[in-house]
Amino acid sequence: MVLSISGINKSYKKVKNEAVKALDNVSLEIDQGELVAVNGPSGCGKTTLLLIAGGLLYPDQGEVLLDNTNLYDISANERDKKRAEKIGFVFQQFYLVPYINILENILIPSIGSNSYSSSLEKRARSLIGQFNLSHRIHHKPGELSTGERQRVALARALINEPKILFADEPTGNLDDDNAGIVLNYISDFAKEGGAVLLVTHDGRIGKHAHRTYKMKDGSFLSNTLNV
Amino acid sequence: MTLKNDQSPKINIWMIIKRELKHKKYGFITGVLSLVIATAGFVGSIVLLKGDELATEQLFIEKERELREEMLQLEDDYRVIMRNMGYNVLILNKEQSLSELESNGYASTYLNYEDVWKIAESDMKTLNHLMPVLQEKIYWEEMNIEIFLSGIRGQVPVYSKPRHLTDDDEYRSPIMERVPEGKADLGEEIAVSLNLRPGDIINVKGEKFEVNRVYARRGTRDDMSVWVPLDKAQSILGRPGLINGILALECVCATEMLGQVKEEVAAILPHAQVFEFSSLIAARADVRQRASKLHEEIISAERLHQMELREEKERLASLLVLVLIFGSSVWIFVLIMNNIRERKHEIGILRAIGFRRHQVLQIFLGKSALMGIVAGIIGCISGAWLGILWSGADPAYTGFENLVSLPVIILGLFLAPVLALTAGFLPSVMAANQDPANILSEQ
Repeated sequence: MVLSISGINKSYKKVKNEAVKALDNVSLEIDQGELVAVNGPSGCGKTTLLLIAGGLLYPDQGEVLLDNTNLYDISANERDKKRAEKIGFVFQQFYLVPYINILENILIPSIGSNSYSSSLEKRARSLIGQFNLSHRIHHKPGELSTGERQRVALARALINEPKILFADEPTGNLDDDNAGIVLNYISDFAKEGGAVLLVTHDGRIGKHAHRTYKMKDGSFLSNTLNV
Repeated sequence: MTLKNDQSPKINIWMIIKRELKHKKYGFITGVLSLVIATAGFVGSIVLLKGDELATEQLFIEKERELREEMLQLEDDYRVIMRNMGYNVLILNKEQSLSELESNGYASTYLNYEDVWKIAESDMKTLNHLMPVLQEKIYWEEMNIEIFLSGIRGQVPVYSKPRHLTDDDEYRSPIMERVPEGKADLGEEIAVSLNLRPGDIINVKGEKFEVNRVYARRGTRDDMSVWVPLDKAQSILGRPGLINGILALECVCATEMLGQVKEEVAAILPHAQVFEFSSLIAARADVRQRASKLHEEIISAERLHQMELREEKERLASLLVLVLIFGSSVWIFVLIMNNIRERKHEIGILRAIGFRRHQVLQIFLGKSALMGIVAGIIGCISGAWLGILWSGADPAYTGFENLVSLPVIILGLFLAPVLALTAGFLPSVMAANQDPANILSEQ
């Protein structure tokens, strides 16, 4: 099992100390080669689930096992290291670094994981070719289309050959053609043995997923097996 | 597919800092500029003060020199005034009775004419303006009147005091002029009573003289004197090779030297005695000391004034530097805070993809340090340059190293990075401690 989430509760304190429940006893398991989608409306707790699963947000209750290591039982530094080595993130907003070119953007996680090498650079160039970005290798993010930017963000997420990819509305800013391209790349990653947790409010994505969870008000309503 | 022929990127924190600085160069430039102003203010004010001090010292030396010259001139004026009061030393034969001198008005014992040369050629420092005199009271038959006949040959050059002498060994400003050959000088009483004027011919005991000049009234026996060349007086009086007194001016550089002259003359002329007109000597010494004291007082007052001015300048410079440092720190703080706000999402994603807190800290502190290093270099150079320019000091004259000292430059080079790191530390820590979950959930 690559990722095992069990019994996760998370509440946010809002004004007048009134707690808002974001996740309510959520459990989930993802194995190698699996693409799991969590589908639901905005504010249902999808992003919170993804941040907790990615080791970025402490849950109030429950545990997150990544490769059999509980992410919240280890130090912050070790968690950062795990994230750099084993997790890839893709967000709706891309969050590319605007002042470096796409090759450098793709290689930037190697600073966090201290893993820069010529073979890693080869892999970056290979991903650039694979994602049809060769003609943009020295361009900066501002010079790319939105679809190209998301492909760069995806290549960056995959550079360290993560065990699992977390994708938060990865097609939210893309047209149908580009959304299809990006989803195909994500599917390919899963087919090659990677695990994917994809959260979205777009119901059309379900067809790419092995399993789809419907989420509302912090809980899973249903679980659909697509295979 | 693998790309080829591309330059490998250098992926490290330093690369991120450099690229961000290039991307946001105006922020970097304004940050550097504020630090340059602070550093240049620090280095410049020190160089300015030092340059000002050296320039003032230079002006002061110049002024002191001018003042010293003026004072020397004043002293010389006093000296001339005092000299014009007449001789203050009289050397007589040791056997001469003072009561007899007083009652006769002239000495009745004699010295050899060569005696005056013995003093003149010695290394004696206390006597100047030596004047050998042969003087006696005689009855001037031709005019039916008693006069003092004085034979003088002019002042004998004292070789140990060459600055008083011309190339011809004549005194530049003698107390009493030589009487030219064949001529005679008259006291006013004689001239008036006998109705004599310069150019008239007189006959003294068979010797003819042309009246050379008539001295103004002095109220002494000089008014009843006739001065002729010494050899003529010796001939008229029948005292060949003799004189009966040597007049001199005691050179008084300080009161404590008074009295020394007697010992010195006794060593050269054991058969002579010396009379000092002490009130004149004391007045002369007092005048000289007063001129010297006045000189010292003016110089001291000027030095005190300069010191007060310098202290005031130092206070102002310290205040200015403090204001600049504070202003620069606030500006750097604001710049970095603004930069962090702009890069919030970048920090969030970097943290999400595995950047450690210390790596984020390095990015911001590295930027501050770089800003400080660049500003330190520019600030030191511009501060030193402006300081030299505004102080008016000439490095070619004062020496560059005296104006711009190495410790000041080292301090200046350290000041800007320390300032930038101090001002940037808190915002950088805030950036490193930002919760990526908060940032990323904002989408």
